[in-house]
Amino acid sequence: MAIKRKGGSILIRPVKMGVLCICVIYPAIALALSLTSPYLQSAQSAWGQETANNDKCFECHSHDFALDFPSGESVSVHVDKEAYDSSVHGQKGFACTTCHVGNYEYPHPIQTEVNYRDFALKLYPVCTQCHEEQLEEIENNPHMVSLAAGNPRVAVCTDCHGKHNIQKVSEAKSPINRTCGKCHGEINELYEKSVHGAALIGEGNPDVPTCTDCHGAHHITGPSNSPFHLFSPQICAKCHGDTALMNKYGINPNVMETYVTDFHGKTVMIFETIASDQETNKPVCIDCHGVHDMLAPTDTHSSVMKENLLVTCRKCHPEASANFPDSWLSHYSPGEARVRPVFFVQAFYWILIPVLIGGAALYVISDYLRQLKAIRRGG
Amino acid sequence: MYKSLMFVRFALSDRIGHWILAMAFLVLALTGFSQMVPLNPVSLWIMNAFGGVGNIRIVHHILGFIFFVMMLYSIGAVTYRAFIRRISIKAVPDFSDIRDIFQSYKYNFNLTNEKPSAGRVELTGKVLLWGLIWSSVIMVISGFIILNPIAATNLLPGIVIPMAKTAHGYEAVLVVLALALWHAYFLLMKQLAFLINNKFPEARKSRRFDHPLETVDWFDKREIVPVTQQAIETYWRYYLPGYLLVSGFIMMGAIYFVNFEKTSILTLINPEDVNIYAPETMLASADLSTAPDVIPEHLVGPYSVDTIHSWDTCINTLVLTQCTKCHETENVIGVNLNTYSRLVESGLVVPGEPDNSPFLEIVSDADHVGGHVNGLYAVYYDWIASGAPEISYPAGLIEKYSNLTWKKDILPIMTRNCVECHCSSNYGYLDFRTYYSTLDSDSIRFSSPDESKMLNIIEEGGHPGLLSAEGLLIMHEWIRTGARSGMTPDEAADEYRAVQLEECVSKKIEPPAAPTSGVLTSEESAAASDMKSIWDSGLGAIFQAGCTGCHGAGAMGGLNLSSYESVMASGVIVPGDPAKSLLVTKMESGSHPALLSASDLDAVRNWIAGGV
Repeated sequence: MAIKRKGGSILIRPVKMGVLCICVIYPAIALALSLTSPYLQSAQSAWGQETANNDKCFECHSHDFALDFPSGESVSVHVDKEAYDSSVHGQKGFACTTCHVGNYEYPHPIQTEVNYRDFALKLYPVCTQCHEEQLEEIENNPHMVSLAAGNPRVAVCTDCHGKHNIQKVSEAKSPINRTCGKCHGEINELYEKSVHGAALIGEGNPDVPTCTDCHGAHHITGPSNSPFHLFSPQICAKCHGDTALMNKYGINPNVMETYVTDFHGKTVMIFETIASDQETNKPVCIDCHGVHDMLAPTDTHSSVMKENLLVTCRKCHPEASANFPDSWLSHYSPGEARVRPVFFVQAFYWILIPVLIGGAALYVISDYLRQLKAIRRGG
Repeated sequence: MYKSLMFVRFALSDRIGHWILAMAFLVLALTGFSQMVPLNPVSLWIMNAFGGVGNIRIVHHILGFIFFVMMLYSIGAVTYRAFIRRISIKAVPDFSDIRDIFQSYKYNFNLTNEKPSAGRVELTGKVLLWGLIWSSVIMVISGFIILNPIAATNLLPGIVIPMAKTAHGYEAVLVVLALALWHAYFLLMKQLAFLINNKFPEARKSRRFDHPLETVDWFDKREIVPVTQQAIETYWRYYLPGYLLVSGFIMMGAIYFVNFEKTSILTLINPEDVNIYAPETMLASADLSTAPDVIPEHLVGPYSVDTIHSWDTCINTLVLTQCTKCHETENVIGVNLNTYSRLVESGLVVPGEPDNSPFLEIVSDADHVGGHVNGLYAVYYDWIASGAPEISYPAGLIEKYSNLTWKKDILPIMTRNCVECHCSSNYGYLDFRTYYSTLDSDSIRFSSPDESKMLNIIEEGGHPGLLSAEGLLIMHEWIRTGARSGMTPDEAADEYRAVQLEECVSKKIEPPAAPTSGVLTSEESAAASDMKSIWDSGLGAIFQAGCTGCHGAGAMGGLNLSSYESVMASGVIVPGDPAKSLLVTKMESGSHPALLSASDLDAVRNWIAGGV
């Protein structure tokens, strides 16, 4: 009896366990796997083979082997191990295959790209697997728009940040303008001669703007979209409206304030506020001071130096006379000595208006009270 | 009842003119205010209502013009009344007005019960009228200046533009405030209040109260000045044509002046004419930004005076900073320009022929990425025209150094500097006494100074004997230009034999047999046979294992020890005399990089000793 019972229990237990497994545990495991597998899969694809041994890669890639493309290009696949190990990714111990997904074994999958550029364009999206925020930022920038339109010569991640020797932007060895200058060479040439570029390159001055300070890093804006021109004074004002920063260099901190009180600046502000999608023919900072080649106003080559101002004015006012540039107060407030006549006009009204209006108000009030009194008395 | 008491103070034309003026003024104030302080909600609402700041300005200018026309009309009306109707202009201020002002204040403050006895245009109206005249003049003049800044600055200093702008704005504020306070109170609020309260008698009384003299005029005299026939005739014959003519001219002038100036262009020009995409111009990168337009002194080299620039002293620096950014690391279009020989071999530079050198055409081509060489073009041109020298040499010596030969130029240098050591088999088995022995030494490589050991060793420094800078230069050029002998082959062979003969005589040994004999003596044959058998029986294995790694087929230093024949021909052993055999002495000195073991060296020594 006992044996039977025991035997029965022994026989029945596997059956129960089987039923339990089939009905509960396996479905639970399957459900859990199905729910987590996408994450596991994405983690796998994002981080690649974490266990891959980079040393294995460097057995070959420390040599100067080349990858030949049908275009005739022969591109070295040598990777400087020291440079990689000291890079931001190398320091974190990322495996080569994190980015070079699929190259887990040798021979590697056959490259089907016709040329090296196609190869680079095929590979760069791997960056966005980890850098998702930047993916959103670059989405509509001119480079990506141009790339989508079929232009392969636009910059993608690796063109700016490098490939195997990526450093933090704050620790980059070369100034940002040199990076942009790789493609925008003429602009960079102008920039490096400008008051900003000369300070950055010549003095290593971190206060001056470089390309990304005005155009942004990933969400790049530029002159191809007209709001950039319209709103560009706000970009300049980020620094030139900073009193502490401007005082450090003895620069007038009121340039924005004086600009918007003048006809040009006022109109631009109006457009910014109610018609930001429209062009205006009123100049912004860069139209007078220069775009990338702006110089200090004391520089003899500056477009806003007094001797050169007429030429600058004539860009928009072709018939401007020699007296015309003096109509611009050169960012001086009316109270300052150079523009004293304007101050006199202002002061005249500051006196006249309170005296006249005050006197009139006094008269009106007293007259009203007098009339009231007269009416109460019956006329 | 009331009607009989009513009288017309202002003619219909006055009232129409007044309301036109009022409307123009109101819209001018609104449009002006929205321009003056544009970023507050009211201004923005006004601007949007008008369809933008552009429309606001157009409307403002049109109404300003209407305002101006009304001024003309008012002037006409006043002059008509003054000169045709002969009505006295009671709005003209006089000293009694000052008295009336004080009187008014005193009355209002209950200091007196006597009111000022102003006429038709009582004191308040007079102030308002003259305020309006003053403001109109200011606004029209300043408005014209602002509207036509270029025309204005043709005659006036530039500062009048901001002065006019300031005055225009402040004057507008003054006028608006004055009208809002003065006009609205006295001519609107006050009388309206009485009308609303249905107290017209009070209004009438008020009118008498406010305009006592006018009321007296009206009721007592009815017609102050009758319209005479002469006045009507004068009006039609003289006044009206004259007025129309003058005002017509003024109107035409005004229309012209508000339209004649095109102050600015309508569309901004591109502030910067630059190629947005311009990959890596030569001036774009870090190193290239300092590429010199004028050759810095430190690049010119030791022969800075009257010197033709050379690759070593100048051109390589320029090329390395300008060209190799692409044509080295990236090897663009298969051109690598990082060395002199590669530049010349590329065919881009044809020494002495600048016009046939594509290099010059390329670097001056603005479309070429690394173009724009500015002042450097002349440097490149001169360099190529002068033969594209790899190193510098003093100008004036070009002819001399362009035809260097062993006999004429090199032998004296060798004799003076080298052969004291490098003769016979001494010092590295280098014999620089003759042309052939020098060539045999493997110390020079035709046309390639960079790969010639002789120059490399001296240039590295540390060699006991050094050439002068000019000596080195001559050697360099001699090798580069083909290391010519300046002799016929027979003369060169004679030179060689003569030196060998001299050596034999001085050492009292037989000179080497004539190359053509080829017959050994019986003793020599026996010894050689003996040495050959020993070599074959195992000694050769010592050489094979210990020496041929370097001195095998590669023949380092020109020494080939891979076979019996080559060992015997090499001269490093003197059969029968190990002490004079360079191979033994070199091993014994310990200075050779690789040494034979003691037993192997003994075997070799014995082998040589038994070779007599």
